Amino acid sequence: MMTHSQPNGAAQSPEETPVLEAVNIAKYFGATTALSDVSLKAWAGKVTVLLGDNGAGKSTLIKILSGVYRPDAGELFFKGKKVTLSGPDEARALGIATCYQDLAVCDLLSVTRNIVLGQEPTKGFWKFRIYDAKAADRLAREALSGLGVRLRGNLRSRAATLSGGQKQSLAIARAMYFGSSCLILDEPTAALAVRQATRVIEHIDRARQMGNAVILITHNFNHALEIADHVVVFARGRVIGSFERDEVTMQMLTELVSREA
Amino acid sequence: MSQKLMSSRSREAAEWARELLLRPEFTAVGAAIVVVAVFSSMTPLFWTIPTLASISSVAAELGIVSIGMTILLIAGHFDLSVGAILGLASFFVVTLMNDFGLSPVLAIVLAVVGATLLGLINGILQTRTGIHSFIITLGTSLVYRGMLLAFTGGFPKAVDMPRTVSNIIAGPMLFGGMRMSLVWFVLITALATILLLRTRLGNWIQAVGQNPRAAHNLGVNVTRTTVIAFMLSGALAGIVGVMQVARFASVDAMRGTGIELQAVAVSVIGGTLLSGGYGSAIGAMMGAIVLATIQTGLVLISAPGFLYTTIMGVIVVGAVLVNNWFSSLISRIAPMTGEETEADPMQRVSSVPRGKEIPKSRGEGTTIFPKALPAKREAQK
Amino acid sequence: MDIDIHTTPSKRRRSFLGSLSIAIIGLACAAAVASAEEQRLKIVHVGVAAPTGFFAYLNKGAEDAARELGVDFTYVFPSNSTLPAQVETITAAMASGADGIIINGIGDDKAYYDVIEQGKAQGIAFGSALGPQAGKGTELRDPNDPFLFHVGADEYAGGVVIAKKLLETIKSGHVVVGNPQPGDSATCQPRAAGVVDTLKAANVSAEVQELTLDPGQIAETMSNYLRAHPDTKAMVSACSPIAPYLEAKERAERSDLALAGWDLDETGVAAIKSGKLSFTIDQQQYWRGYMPVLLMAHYLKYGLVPANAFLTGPAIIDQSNIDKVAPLVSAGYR
Repeated sequence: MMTHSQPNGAAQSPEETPVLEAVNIAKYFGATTALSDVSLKAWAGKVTVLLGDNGAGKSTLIKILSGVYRPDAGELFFKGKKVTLSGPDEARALGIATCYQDLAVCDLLSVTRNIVLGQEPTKGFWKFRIYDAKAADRLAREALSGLGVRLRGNLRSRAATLSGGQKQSLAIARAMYFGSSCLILDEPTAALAVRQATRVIEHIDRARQMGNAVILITHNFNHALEIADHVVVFARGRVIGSFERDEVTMQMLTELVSREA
Repeated sequence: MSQKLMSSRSREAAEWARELLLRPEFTAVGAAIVVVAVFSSMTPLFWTIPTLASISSVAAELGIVSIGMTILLIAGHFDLSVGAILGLASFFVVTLMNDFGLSPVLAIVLAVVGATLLGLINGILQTRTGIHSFIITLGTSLVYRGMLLAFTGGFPKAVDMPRTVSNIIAGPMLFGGMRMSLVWFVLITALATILLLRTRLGNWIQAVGQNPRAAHNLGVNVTRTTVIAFMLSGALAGIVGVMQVARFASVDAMRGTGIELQAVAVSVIGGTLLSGGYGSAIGAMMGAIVLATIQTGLVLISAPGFLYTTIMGVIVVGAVLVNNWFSSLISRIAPMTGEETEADPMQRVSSVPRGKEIPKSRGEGTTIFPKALPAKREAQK
Repeated sequence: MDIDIHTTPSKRRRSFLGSLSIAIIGLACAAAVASAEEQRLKIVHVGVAAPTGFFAYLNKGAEDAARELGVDFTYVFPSNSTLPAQVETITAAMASGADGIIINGIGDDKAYYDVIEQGKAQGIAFGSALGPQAGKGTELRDPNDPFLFHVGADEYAGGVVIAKKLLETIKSGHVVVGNPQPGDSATCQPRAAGVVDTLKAANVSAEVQELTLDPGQIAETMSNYLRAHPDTKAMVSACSPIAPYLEAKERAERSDLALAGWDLDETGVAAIKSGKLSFTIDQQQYWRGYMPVLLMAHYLKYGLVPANAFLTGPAIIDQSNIDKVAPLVSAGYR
């Protein structure tokens, strides 16, 4: 259960190769242009925030980045190498993990089983392998503590007992633990109470600390500014602004988005 | 410090107890105890070997089908064709022995394989078309039943099953005339429990039934898992088909009719959710025992024979209601797993006031999480 | 019996390829024959359910009659055994251009009067493959009855026959009648009622035990019944294979128990021979398929209408006549 990406590079020069890079991506659905000429870079140890109203093309872009859709034009580079993602499985195998807000967990499975789902540790011999519950609990504990997620009580309690924010954190912890070097988070703080959202932002920060490239999709400017290293603003399928964190203020963003929307 | 430890221990124990009460089979066990208590207080005939033999015999055949149904319900699907698959498996045994001259053992093995393939067809149709399994298996149940009609020509078919074979499968070989089917029932329950709780496939079946897209996102092969669940359902129905041939040495075109709905009832009494993702083989076992006890008990207490099916239906609905009521009662008790709010201050980022400046440099960040990287490296070792 | 080399209707139903080749031969051979073929009478039997078990015998009788009489015959049945579904099936049969329709009714005769009215307006004749109402088997046909004939067993009378035969040996005690299809008003219910009513009138207690269709469950329920009611002197199966009852009898170790039922299969034949099954009521269902086709064909050809119902049963099969009946069971006639 080793991760591929050593996070050592986190504190090194940010000018090295981006983990994930999209160049001049376009996507059409029939006559509708969903995306045109979109470029984006996600760096190790940095959070790139995609901002934009509903329908701006954010979800189409993450589906392209996570291999669900194939772009009609443009190229994707992973750690400097050109890649063509044939499906979500291939993206996942490369280390691009996508956490969707409503698809974080299976409520009736335990916390542990949610974390190890698809990667269950087993013991036994040859074909006769059974689920190793102790190893799974250990993995789950490690995954959660790695991100600083603290749960009171039992890892074998059902995920239904977790708060919405904890479910998001669980999904992030899981993705990181199982070797992702690029996290794509789709609206992780939407529909969360303020305190829970703050906690999730902390965990995203922690993931950044550990050297992951994070792409965060949100339409909450506060959260965006709180965590971002780069802000990319979308409207009608185009990038209308790309800023370093210190170049941008709340007012600028509000004006930009409201003008374009 | 020790006080804190104690309180966290007792909290854990309380949570453990709560999770136990929330287990799907728990209320089915309760229902079984209630049903047994009621009937044994009403008739001295209840606690006798023949009664127990009767209950175990009905429960075994019904329970094995129900375990297949339960696994499939956990995976989020129905199988209304188990009755017809049961009938066809019975027919396979009869025809392979009569018309193809195969040995009983080979015929039985092939019949179960055939039943598994019928389940495979259900699974492939469902996963390929995406149509609700209720409709798919409603259709295949008619097709399978139609095949049975065509193959038998509508006439009952008898077979000469060697005594040894029929005894091993379903003969009254156990203490006090209990049937061998009980042994297979217990064995299958144990295997199904291991499958669901102690294998990767079991974990996937549960995940697929709850949130197939989440499972898919995490690399679970949803289609394959679903098809396997359909195959298990078919195989277990086939095993019961074999048992009934062993017992009655014959097959008729109506064999297995109605068992699919009994199996759904048993699964639900056993705590399985019709919405998928949740259930247990032990629950199905207890559910089958509850239904068999009701069937047997009603006759033993001389309940009016003309109200038999009505009373049985009322009790089944009642059992499910009590089951649901109890589950919701337990789950309303606040969960013990909460967010650790007063955690180690090291874990907390000083919450930045909205819209104001936030720490920009990573240097500042690392001082907030001085142990972050070592912890991760530790985890990777 | 293949008088007509061009068509054998029963085989035609079974084999599409066969019918296709027959059609081709028919076309190629002679136009005269082909035109004669067009005038073949078309008779449809609207059944209760698929031609399985009991209905298989009936269907065989009907197909044999059609072949012997040189008429086209089709057995159709509703998707589920309910009155509305059956009425729809009848409507479909009328639309298919039938000359005569035989209805094996699920509901009361009156339920069909409406649809028969429409059919008669199209010139279609109707007959019933169901016995007359309970106790009316011996009455003359009501001239206003839209059904030209009734062919079948008097199910209630069958129950009466069973009870009377049981009363020959049983003077006191208790009798149980198992019914796996409670609510089947055409068959199981009147049979059970015939037994229970007659026994009660003779001061022998009797009751109906509802059952499921699962043979294992029937066996367990009935053996438990015998334990709970040790005064039971006889057990009657109203309408299902006899095997589970035989098992129940054996399990309860009640070799003295009288066991009776309806219809006969291979298991039943063996059980009668060995004495485990006392007797069964045969309604000679082959005739229930055969006779309506015969009567319908004769009505359509010659305008003949019988003056009373044709009762195919009840007939008793016991050790005295089993040797004659047995080979015919395997052959599909009894």
